[in-house]
Amino acid sequence: MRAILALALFASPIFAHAASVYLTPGDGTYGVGDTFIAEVRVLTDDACINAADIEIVYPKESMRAVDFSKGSSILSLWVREPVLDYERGIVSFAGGIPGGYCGRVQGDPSLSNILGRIAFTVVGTSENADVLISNNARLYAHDGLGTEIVPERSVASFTLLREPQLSANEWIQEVQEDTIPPEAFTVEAHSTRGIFSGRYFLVFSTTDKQSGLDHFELYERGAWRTVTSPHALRFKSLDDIRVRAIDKAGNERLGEYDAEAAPESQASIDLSFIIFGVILVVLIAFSRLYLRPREKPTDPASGA
Amino acid sequence: MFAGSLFERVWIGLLTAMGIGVLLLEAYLIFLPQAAAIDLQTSAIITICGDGVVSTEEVCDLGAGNNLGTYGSSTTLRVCAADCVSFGPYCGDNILQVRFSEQCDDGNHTNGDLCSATCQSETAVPPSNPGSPTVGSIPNLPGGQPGTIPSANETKVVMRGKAYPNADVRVLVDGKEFGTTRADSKANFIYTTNQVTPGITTFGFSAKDSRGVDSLTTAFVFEVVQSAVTTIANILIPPTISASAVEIPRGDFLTLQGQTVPDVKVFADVFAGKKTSFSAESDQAGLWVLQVDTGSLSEGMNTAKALFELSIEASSGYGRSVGFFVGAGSPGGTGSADVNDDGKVNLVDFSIFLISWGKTDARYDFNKDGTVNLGDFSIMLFNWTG
Repeated sequence: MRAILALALFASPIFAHAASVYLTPGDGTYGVGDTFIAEVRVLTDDACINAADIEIVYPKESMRAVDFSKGSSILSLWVREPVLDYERGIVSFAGGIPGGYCGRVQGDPSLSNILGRIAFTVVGTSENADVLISNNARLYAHDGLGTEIVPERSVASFTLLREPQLSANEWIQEVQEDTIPPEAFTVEAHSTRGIFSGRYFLVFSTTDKQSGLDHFELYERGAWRTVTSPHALRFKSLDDIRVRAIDKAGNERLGEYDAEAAPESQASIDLSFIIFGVILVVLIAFSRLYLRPREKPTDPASGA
Repeated sequence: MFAGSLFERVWIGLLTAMGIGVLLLEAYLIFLPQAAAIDLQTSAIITICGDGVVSTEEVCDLGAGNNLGTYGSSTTLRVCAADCVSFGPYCGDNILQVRFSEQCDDGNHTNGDLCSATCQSETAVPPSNPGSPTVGSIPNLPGGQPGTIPSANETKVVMRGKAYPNADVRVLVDGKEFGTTRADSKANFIYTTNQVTPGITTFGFSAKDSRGVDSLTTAFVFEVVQSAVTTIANILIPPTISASAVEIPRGDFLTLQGQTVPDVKVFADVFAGKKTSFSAESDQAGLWVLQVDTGSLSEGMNTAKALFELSIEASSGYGRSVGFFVGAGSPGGTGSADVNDDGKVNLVDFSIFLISWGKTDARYDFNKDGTVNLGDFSIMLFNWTG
């Protein structure tokens, strides 16, 4: 091994980084009744990011966000599922990229920078319908410190006419073309001290590269019902665990569950209960010591 | 008076014990390796076999649906193979392809040297109808639409890069463990799969060095092209790093060491408000070591991280960083993202983390800002192992 005495080569200050969030298309002309797709994209200049918290504001008088697709998103884990707030005209979501995202790789045939895709339906006319990235939008540097990056933001401006301009509904067309189910995934059962009181909980995650993942369902007591990960099981039994992922087009994929890999439940040995018990015993012991009648000590002054 | 005093002492004792416990826990969290990477660089290159463009990583590319690797009757008529890094069999490749009616193959296309330009023996009687054989002609190739590739072709991804000599390299797809491959003695690795769906995909790579130290997960997000071979080359897993001390008096020498690709230049940068750079060279086993004079560093918490330079054009990004405190005082830092202590940061940790989302649970408030939020999520993703 070549061990050398290291000398400082140079010292330089640390600079902040820039990134921007924008919409495509940035402009366009549509008519009442048209449904079109706007893509939320990110550009990282010299920064690597791993999480994004995005809020899009649109004019609710003339537009309505009707759906959100995670299909082509670079985000694969979602801490806040997309929310379409019709009352306020806001679309928001937050998610992350394990391992980080440092921009387009040289040679990639696409930009590969979509955070999410929003389907808008035109409900009113407007000469200047501005859809903008809220100033609450934040990106997070892939630096191990969770450093916030305030992105530069841009506005997409649309002209909305009375007559429809599109021959077909872009979103319906896209969903109908999707015949591929979500990606294969596994379902794991876990039991961890202090989590769900030590009960079993299921962990699952997957993506859908086309129309995007819609939801997960768990088969329980003869019926499928919508669940999210992690999902705490009501009953101790780990027999017949079935979880399926369903995309926007209704294609479904059944998760693979390995019953033999499931751990023992740790409900009975929760550490917090043990600590609490030990403290209680100690307190009782000393309280008894304190309350026990004692012989009054002799006053040294009177004894003299 | 005496009993009251005893009670107070007991309470003080209990509180002190609890305080020591909390301090020990804090110290444990603080001295865990922590990260302060700023930039990640990438030299990775993607090539699409099937786009008709011969990229630097390719030998040939005839375009959508044409890389069939079928027989070519001459060098000029040879047909690119499906991986774009080789050709199908052809007359002139020095291999006698009897199944394609070759009678000889001397590796050239010269007549009069006993083997003709069409790989027929020149002593043999020429066929009665030389125009009839179809051998050597390019078959009627499917797919004519520019930019589209017939869906009958296989979708495949080839990943090539460098890790550490003889290290197991883990491959993640969209954050989940997908497969492993082993690097050779020169740290080169290759992983090929056809089990991917076309579309935007995140591929991650990590390795454990010979001393058991984990690398950072290096990720690339790109589009997997349908019915084509997408090759990503120059995946450079950054060096591992560890420090000889977590607290060191200013002026003493600190040892930084780790593993990387053999015989390359390693740059170790130390951050504490300013960046101070050091360099070393790795040996044949990829091991590198630096003796750092802490007199040249700032007092307080410092973090060090390393990258390696393969060539002037190609260097890795920064790897995982290690924290150490120079001088006397109280170090600070972030908590561990491995919330269930199983040695991995993966979906299970993420799921447990989600339960405390938006709350003040100190266990998952890694950056200690008072709330479990996106900053903590970002720290978890940085340390992701899959």
